[in-house]
Amino acid sequence: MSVYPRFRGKLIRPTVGMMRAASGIFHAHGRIGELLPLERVLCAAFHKEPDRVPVTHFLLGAARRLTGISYERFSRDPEAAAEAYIAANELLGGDVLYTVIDLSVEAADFGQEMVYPPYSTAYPDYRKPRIASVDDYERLEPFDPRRSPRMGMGVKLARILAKKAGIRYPVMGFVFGPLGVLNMMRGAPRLFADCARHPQKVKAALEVITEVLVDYARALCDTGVDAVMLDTLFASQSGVSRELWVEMEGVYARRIADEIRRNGALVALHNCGTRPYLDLQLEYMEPVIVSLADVPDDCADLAELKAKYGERTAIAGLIPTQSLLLESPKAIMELAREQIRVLAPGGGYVLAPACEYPPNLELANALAVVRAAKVYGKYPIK
Amino acid sequence: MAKGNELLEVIAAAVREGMEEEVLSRCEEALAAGIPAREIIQEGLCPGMKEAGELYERHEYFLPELLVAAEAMHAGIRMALPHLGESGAPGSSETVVLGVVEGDVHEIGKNLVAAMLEADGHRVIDLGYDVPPQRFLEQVRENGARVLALSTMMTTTLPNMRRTVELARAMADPPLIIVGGAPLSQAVAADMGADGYGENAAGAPALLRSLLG
Repeated sequence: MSVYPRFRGKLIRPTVGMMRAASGIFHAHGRIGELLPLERVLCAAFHKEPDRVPVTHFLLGAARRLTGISYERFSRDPEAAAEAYIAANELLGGDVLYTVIDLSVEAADFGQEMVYPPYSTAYPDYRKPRIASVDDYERLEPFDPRRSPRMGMGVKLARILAKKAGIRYPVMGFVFGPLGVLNMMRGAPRLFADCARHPQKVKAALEVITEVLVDYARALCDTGVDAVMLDTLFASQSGVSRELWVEMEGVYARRIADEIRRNGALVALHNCGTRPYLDLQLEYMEPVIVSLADVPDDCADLAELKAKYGERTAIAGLIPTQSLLLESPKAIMELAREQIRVLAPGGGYVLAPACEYPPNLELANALAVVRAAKVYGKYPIK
Repeated sequence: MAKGNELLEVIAAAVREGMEEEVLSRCEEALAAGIPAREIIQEGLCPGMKEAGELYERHEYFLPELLVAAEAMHAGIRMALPHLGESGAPGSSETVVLGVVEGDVHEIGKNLVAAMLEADGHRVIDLGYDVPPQRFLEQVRENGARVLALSTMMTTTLPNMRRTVELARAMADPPLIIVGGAPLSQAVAADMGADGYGENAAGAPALLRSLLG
């Protein structure tokens, strides 16, 4: 169930052109009244100025604290995770609902053993890597993600959120990029060395992973989510070279992005690396919105980011995680104010932390981010 | 067959390019030619790793290239070590105890810091990942280490890093403490009481030199 009707079992969605046209109506409405979060985000995504800058606190694991559930329950129970996410938006005031659980969801279903710590994000048990030797790359088998434990949970979570969000919130599904998934099964040191020494074996695994992720993206789209966010972490100077990224992830990520579009949802992107290769990621995935932690490798600052890429994609971020950890709420509001001043004019900006809100950090700075959008983000930006 | 300095330069180039088999065959050749193992390590293997680090700092190399260079250097060191004889380990300026803090398993940055510090002539005791604070302290004491290097990639394990720093600070003869990892910055490092913050692995030797004076 979602806000979109079905015909013969298939969701009937507005086209991108219809959404763009609607964003114009929302823009006009936003000049005289308050928009719903879904209207506000769509308006910004299509480069129109909404009533105010949309905002997301990016509470993922931290959301569990608002309903008092354990980290393991958040990681395994879709109903409980959905309740936590909705509580986070209702209590703090965010404009987007995510379906992110953690970055090991896909790898776990390929057979990677997991650790579920009580106060931290679930992670792979690297003492027992799924890809223990280079020959294991060719031993991965495709499967139906709807029937697998963790991706199956991702689909259920997306379905619940899409239903509960109604027409109020946009819901964003999440798929970790193929190279990232492989990293979770091999460990970055070995994977990176294997990319250099055994590229064909690595690609054999990437083919199978991509096949499953394409299917997973299709399943997420079918729940009625409005967008699916791809995370291509390694497309940055803190990951691999531009050429290696294209070869080892770009060509695979493109297939997933194409599938998302084919199924009527918007493509979003998250990259929290240092100096991301935004030009390449736009070329290969054509996202409507990109969530960043740093300015791209070909930009000197936020102003150049806006000037160079502001017309091609909407931007989300870039409040540094380190600032959330150290700074006062007042300082965070000032930081957000400056980012709004540079990035928000003309629309195309969602105020957000650079990456997941630190799961165990007190929530005052999440409130400060949201508050900044309401205080300093009213259009026209002053 | 290449000789003397020429052979050491070939070894350095092979490390820089991450050509492990070439490193091994050239190290074997150098040992057979009577080049002392210490010289092979100090004048061939380590300079090659340093060059790779410089290329990384100039964004000409990335993590994969740096990792294969580190592996090639380590393979060469493993071959050369049994030939050091009575002269012992090559001149190690400081002993560094290094590891990823408890609860975190991301070790790529830590591995590269280890390789860069070894290439700079330090003795590195790598404790791996998910290391409890007490184990760091024991190893600092047992090895008389002057430097403790801690890494974490997650905000959830920053409290464990802070706890380790606090305990190390409270030691009778506290080591110099350097920290690094994605959620850190100079300000976060200073706030938790570390002596130094490493933004990336390639800069670790320079950081250590500046702290040691």
